[in-house]
Amino acid sequence: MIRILIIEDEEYIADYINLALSKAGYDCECIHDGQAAADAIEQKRYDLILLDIMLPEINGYELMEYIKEFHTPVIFITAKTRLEDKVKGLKLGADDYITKPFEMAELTARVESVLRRYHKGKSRITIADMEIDIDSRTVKKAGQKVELTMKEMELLLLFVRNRNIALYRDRIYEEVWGGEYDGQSRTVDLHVQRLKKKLGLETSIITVRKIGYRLEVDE
Amino acid sequence: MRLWQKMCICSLSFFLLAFWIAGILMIENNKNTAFEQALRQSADEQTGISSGILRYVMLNRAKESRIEGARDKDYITEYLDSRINSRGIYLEIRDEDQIMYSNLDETLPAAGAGREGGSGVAEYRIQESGSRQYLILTNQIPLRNRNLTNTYIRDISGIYSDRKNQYSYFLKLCAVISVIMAGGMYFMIRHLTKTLRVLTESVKKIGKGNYKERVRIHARDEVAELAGSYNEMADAVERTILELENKAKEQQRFLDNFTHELRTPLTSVIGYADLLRSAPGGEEQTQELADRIFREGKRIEKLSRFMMDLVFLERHSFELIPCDLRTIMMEAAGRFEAAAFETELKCTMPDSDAVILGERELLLILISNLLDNAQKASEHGDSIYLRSHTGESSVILEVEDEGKGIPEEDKARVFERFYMADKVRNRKNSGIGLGLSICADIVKIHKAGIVLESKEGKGTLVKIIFPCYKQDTN
Repeated sequence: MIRILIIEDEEYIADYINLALSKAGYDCECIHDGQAAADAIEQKRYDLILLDIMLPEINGYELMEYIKEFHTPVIFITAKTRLEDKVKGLKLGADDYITKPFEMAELTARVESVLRRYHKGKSRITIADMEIDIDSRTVKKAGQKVELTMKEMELLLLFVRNRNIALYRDRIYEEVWGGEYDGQSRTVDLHVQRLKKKLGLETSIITVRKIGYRLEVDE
Repeated sequence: MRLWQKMCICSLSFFLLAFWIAGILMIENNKNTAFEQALRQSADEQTGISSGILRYVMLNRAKESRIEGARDKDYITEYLDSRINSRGIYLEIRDEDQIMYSNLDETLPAAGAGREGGSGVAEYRIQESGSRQYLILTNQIPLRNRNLTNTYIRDISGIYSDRKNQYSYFLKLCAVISVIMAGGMYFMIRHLTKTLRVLTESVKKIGKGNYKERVRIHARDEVAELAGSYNEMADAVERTILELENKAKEQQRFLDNFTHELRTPLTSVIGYADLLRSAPGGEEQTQELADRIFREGKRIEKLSRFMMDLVFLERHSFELIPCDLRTIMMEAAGRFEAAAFETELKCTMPDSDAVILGERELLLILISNLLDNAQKASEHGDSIYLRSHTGESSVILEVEDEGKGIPEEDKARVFERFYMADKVRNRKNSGIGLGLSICADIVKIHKAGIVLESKEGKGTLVKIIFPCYKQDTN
């Protein structure tokens, strides 16, 4: 299980991140002040730290200096959107930077991206009776290798990352194909149909009315 | 051309001009004096010769009992030979066309016809012959029956050659003096304008943006005065720039704070809504999430309201009219009691008028904000006091609570924009951190004073001192 530490003084936001990341399958812990966080980091090992820059008492940047010693990847969370703040954060050694407000999908995508960089992300995902190898981009269904196009693979990964979460069509389009979803396009639906057929996921990928699709799996 | 160069050239030119004029005047004066002297001497000598000749001739005529002047020529010759031995003096005595005596030679100008003059008055002219100048005087010797013309010629070349020498010497002197003057002026003026250069250097540095630079001049002259004034100006500039920098920093801080205060609740609103639409959980969870969205939405609403108040306060100029604080207090109390249910509001007011110059709406906001803060700090069952009383020349408004109090280290900062002493508790009560800041602004507009007393665990008292409104009795 991947352990993520969330250092955020606003209770609601910390809770929200916790909920979102837990749903994505991570083990999360929330701490609300910098001093306690420093103590926790010293005592426990974490795979990733989400750090809010505007903390009371301790400055987020200062805490960053401290965390660097532990070689744990860090993602800054902040309301500051100025370019110089982003540069400062990244220069200090943060692995990524996310600005408030953000959506769940964006959060999970960044978390995964950073974890992958540190080889902490799952390079192999086992879900239901499928074995997905992310690095080689192959999938085995019940032991049998299934050929997927690049877009189909991306689509599958998107569903897996956001399992049990309803994905909006425009979001799916943006993530997999890039660009704006024009609303009329049937690209998403066609690909989802094909994916379902190839992997026998007819009952697992559910159409959510007026919204999009959801991959349902038991956790 | 540089100032010092101008100064050097001007003073040098002027000096040389004066020197020249003086020299010329002097030399010419010398020449004139010498000439006058020569003239006088010559005239005297000529007169002497004339009268001498006259006497001698008359004497000899009488001696030899002659009346006509047949032997006059001899007499004159005799007389003159024994007399004239000075060099440079030439004489010609003429009787009409006949030359009685002459020691003129070819180099000399011709004597020329004598001019008629009165008796003894010498007419003179100067004539140049060869390379020498001659003074020619013509005189009449009145012998008994005829006039003899005495032409006296004196070589006055010396005067002219003297003058020439003097000019030549003067020229050389001038050259030497010029060099010395030029050198001296250069160093002197460079030295005197040094302060000017120091000033220029300093000013250049300040011009490049080094606002801390000041001019250091130790003299006491006009340049030092200028430097002093310049330093004052630089002080003013530095001060202003510091002020502007601080203002800019302050504005940036405000903007950062505001952005943060807006984006934070927005994150909850967007985040929880996203959760609700994408991964609906059970009813209990849905209820909780929706509640959070609601609260954070209200928080944003409160923020926007306060921001508008701030903008309103900053942009508006307010007309203060006399109003009785008591009525405003009552209205504020009325509004508050409608909302408050955990605490008890106790109101105390003076019996007499409490008239101040104020703006009703602003005062209402002021009192509501203070009551709001009191409410947030209090627990269930605590009391909140709203009081006013009149002093000698002031009207005092007080809001007191029995709540948490403000820690010592936060007291100085409570009036800052967005500052919250107890952030966590304030958030729960949808606190924004602008309440007291707006109160401070309103107090300022009313030309009043605000005092805050607080003890942790005991409570807080906010006192506002308004100047009394005294009607003009004139």
